[in-house]
Amino acid sequence: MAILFNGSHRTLKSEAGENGPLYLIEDIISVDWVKTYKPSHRASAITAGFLAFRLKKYSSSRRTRSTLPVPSHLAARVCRRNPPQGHIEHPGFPADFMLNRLEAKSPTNSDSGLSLEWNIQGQQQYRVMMSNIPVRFAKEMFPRGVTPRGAAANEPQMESCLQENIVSRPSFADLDRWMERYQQADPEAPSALVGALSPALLGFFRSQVASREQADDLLQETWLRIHRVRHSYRPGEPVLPWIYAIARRVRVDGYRRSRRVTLHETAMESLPERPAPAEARNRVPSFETLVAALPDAQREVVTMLKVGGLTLEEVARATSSTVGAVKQKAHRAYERLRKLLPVEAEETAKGAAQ
Amino acid sequence: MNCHDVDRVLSKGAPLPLPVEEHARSCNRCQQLLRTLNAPAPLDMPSPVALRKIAESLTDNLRPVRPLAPARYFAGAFIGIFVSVVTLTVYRLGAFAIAVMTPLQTAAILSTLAISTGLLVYSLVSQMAPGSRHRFSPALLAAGITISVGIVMAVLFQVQQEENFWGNAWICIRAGTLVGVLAAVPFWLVLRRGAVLSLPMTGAAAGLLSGLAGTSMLEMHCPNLNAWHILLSHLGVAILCALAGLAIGLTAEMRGRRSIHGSSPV
Repeated sequence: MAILFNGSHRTLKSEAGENGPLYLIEDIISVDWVKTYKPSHRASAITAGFLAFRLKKYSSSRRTRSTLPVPSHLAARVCRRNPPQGHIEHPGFPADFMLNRLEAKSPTNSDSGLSLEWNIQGQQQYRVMMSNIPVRFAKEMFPRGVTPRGAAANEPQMESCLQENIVSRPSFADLDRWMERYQQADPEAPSALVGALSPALLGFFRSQVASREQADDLLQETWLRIHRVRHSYRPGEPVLPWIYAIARRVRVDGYRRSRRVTLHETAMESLPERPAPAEARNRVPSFETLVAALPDAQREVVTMLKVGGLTLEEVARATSSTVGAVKQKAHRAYERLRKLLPVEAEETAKGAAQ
Repeated sequence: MNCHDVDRVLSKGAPLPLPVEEHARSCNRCQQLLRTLNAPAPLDMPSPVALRKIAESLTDNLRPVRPLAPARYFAGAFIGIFVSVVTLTVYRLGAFAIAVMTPLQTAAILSTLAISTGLLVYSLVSQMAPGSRHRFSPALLAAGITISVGIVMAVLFQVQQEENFWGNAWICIRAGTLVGVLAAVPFWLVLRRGAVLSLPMTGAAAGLLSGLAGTSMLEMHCPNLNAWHILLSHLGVAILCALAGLAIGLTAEMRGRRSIHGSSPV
């Protein structure tokens, strides 16, 4: 076990378990471990990026032959419901495993962490403790606090997240209830909704418009419009397509408005060039960089799927189109992204050579 | 199994099957694409102060609202208005066309108009509530309906010699447009209960529906079976009303954008 996390943990404790040796590993989140998985990521990205596992989902009867990217906190809840088997796609992490339980310790202090248990090839049982997870990330994973040990967390959206891959939405479970309470003028509802939805909405706007200021403005305007038309949400309907349909409209209006303003503006002097972002210097094909090269319609679809965590059906609803049209746009976007990738890869290779 | 298949599977949002997965392992491009797409989404956190201000401003203006009624009620309202307007005007003006058309022509043209009306009503009801399911793209549906009705009319009726073609056409266009306007007012009253996001699109669809009321009335009233007359003055009413709805929607949207631009942010 120590070899798997070679050089990546500070302490390794071994305890005797009922079904074999039980290990307690601390500080396994490290640059080494992360670098192997994502060679070019910066250390700061570890906190957000590398608790995600790649699982192979198994049905009870036969292997479904699917690979799903599952963030760890999502995996935790899924595992409680229907433990998947799989493997971590990591060169030094060889074994198939059964992820039994993943739970959080206190997310409010600096020792916040996750502990997970799994069976490797069904023979041994390990307990791995991940610690020193930044508070921000822990809060993001567990926005309503720590999931108590043994508590049922059978939230229905978790399975759909698995099926539709990509993004977890831990705080989206009660959105429909909050929306109903918002319509009934519950004073707690606006802050709950704003808190739960704004990060994803801001991410949506950030991928569509250039500046943070514009995105903030659009976010404010979106909430204003949501407030005005809150009666048009039908209880029982999915909330996210309703929200994103409004956000999409705000973005279109904002784009037209800014274009009109730009047409009437005259450049007084050329601005200094923006310094290249760190990831551009590192030539890492990040999601944002790649998606920026897509046409608007394709970028919108990919962003909703990836950043917003919407399903194909939800994207179709939000964009007033059909699922088929969304699939087609996504397909074209992936084709285009693939064409962009080799260029990035070559540049990476050149950069490395230099 | 090739890269194209990986794209296809990815675009379906389904889990990767084993052959695709094996291909992805051996193909650098696919591997890189999957890694990029599967990396946790970058979340740009909004400022807590800004969020608090937004939430406070929403709470300040909070009043209970009644949720939008189920879609079937609105669909019923639209169809009720459509049928009432057409029935009343045909009753008033007389159903002379029914007497001169063959049963096949009558059945085919009225069925086409009924199906078109049903589809437009469904689309309009979907457009009233953001995030509703659309089985057809609203823009394509409006265009498709216009073309389909035109094709059916061209197939069912024959070109005939007609005296005073433009004079007759003008009479039908004027009567049909009046019926369209008569239907448009209650349609608008129903539509304003929802939250229409794209005013030009919804305006065009509502205009087309109003125009179809006029067309339906003319198809039952006007005994002129000349194909050119029907295409120009009967279908023309629907097209005219759709264009008027589009123009009204565009104007309303531009005015709304200006007023939003002038207002202070939340």
